[in-house]
Amino acid sequence: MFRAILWSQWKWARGFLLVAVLIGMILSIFVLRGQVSFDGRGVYSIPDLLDRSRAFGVFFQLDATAVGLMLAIAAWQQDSRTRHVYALLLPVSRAWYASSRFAAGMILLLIPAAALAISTAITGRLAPLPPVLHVYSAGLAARWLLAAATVYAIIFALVSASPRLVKRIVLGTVAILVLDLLYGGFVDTAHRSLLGALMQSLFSRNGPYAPFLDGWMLIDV
Amino acid sequence: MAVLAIGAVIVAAPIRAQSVQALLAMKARNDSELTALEARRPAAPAAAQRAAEILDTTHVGDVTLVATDEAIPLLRSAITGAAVNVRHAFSDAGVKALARAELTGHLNLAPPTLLSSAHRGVLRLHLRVGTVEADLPVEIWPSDSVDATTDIEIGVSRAIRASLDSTMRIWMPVLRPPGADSIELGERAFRVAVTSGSAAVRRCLAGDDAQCKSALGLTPADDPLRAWYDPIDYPDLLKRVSNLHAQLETELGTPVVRACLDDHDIPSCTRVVTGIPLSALRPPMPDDVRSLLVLTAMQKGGDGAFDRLLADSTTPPLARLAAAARVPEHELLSEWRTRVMVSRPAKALPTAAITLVSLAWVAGCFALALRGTPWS
Repeated sequence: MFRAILWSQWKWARGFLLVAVLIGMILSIFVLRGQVSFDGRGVYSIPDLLDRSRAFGVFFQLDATAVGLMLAIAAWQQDSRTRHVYALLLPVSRAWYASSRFAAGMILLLIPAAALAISTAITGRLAPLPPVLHVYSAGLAARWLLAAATVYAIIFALVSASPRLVKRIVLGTVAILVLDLLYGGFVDTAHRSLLGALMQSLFSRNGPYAPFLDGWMLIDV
Repeated sequence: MAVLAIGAVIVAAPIRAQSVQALLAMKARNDSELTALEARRPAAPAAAQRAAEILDTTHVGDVTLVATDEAIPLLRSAITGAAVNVRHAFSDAGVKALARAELTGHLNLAPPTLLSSAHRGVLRLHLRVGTVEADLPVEIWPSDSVDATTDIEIGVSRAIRASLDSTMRIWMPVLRPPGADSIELGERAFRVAVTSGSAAVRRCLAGDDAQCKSALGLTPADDPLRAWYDPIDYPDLLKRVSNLHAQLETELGTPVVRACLDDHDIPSCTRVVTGIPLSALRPPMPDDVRSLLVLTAMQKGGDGAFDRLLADSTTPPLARLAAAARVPEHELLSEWRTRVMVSRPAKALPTAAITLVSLAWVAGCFALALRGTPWS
């Protein structure tokens, strides 16, 4: 049963996963190549390489977000189209079904993460880096996997819930935030907006953004 | 018509006379009201201005704080944080500097027309430590916290540096006391040291004190190129001085420069780098690495360290730093080297905290997904 679910999710997501693997490889080549070619020719300097590595961390973060998001949507897309009737037909509980879908997505996430680790390791070996710099393939791939898994889990939970409930939550949240902003704008401008507090907690070290914190550097000292 | 017109004039005359009197009375009334208004007019903005300028003087530890009532609690916490770091970094010199420090906060509120509904404004901070004065970055008001700790620390350390003699001032950059960002300072020092591309630095980090002195600019180098770099470092050195490439290509020819940059041809590199003006060659261990050496000496020396540093301005900087630390030069360098080496950024793998937080979010979302009922 689980194998069937895994297979179906693989079928729905494989095109996207292939693109994700390619993007990971291209990004690693771009970081490591920089201004210097693989035969060591060209002008580069160590600070430039470090800056480049730091700047490219953002692209790896965007890649992880996109992959987590797409995999979560792919996991439920077919069920949503058929109004989740398929799950009702199966002789398993809803919780078991959702767990299987969740686990299948998590397993599929390992593919681009592993590809990223391998591609960065290979390009790292080929690139003529100064001896003081190192390529942190495993570290970057681990960060990528954690970030993608967090995004995947959040979107998975949202998509698997009742659309009506999600709509209510979203509309309710938006209404509260708008009212709060209006209150802050017209009644008490010294009032600290809820939106600011929400953003602050989201981007704090305990928020879902935590795996994206700190520099994602493929090359470092 | 003419009779009617004459009649109208005759009848209107007393009316006009009456209205003139009324108008004059009205004018007099208006004049007096205007005078009163004029007298009151500056009062309104002044009231608003006063609200912004009510300054209270208080003491936070050793620091004199002049600010509005509202700003005092926030500035108090900023000063307390900075004072701890300054005392830790500079010991008694820090205590003395703090005793001379005065932080003034001017709260500039929004225009009075908006004052009734908006209490927004900016808090301008001015730090004075003895003769050193600095305007700190403005803070948006109202605010939950004033992020002035680092600025206060830098202001105080600048004042400490100003009290040094010129020899030490030339050698020493503006100090950043290690507080909340001490790890960052160490990491920056490590990065600068290991990415310097200098043979002297490599030998220094391997334990060669003479090379450390040279790379830190503590001993004069007659031939900096050979003192700090090996031929293998020349391609990297040339890449670092990219602003001189055009000049060197003009002097020596493009093929020679390209041979060094592209092919790492050492004879070509040797020709090119000897053309680099000596003024363009700086000791390969600059600001952050030196800061770490000074802070190591201050912290090791404890009480009186700064006084000992100032005691004899005729001796070279390293001897003075060693005197401040009350240890021999080699011991101070060894301690500093250890501090640089342990500051290697450990950012390769996500930290345990980040991993746990992420897994907690994943688990929480998974639990929510199990409870989700898409049919309802």
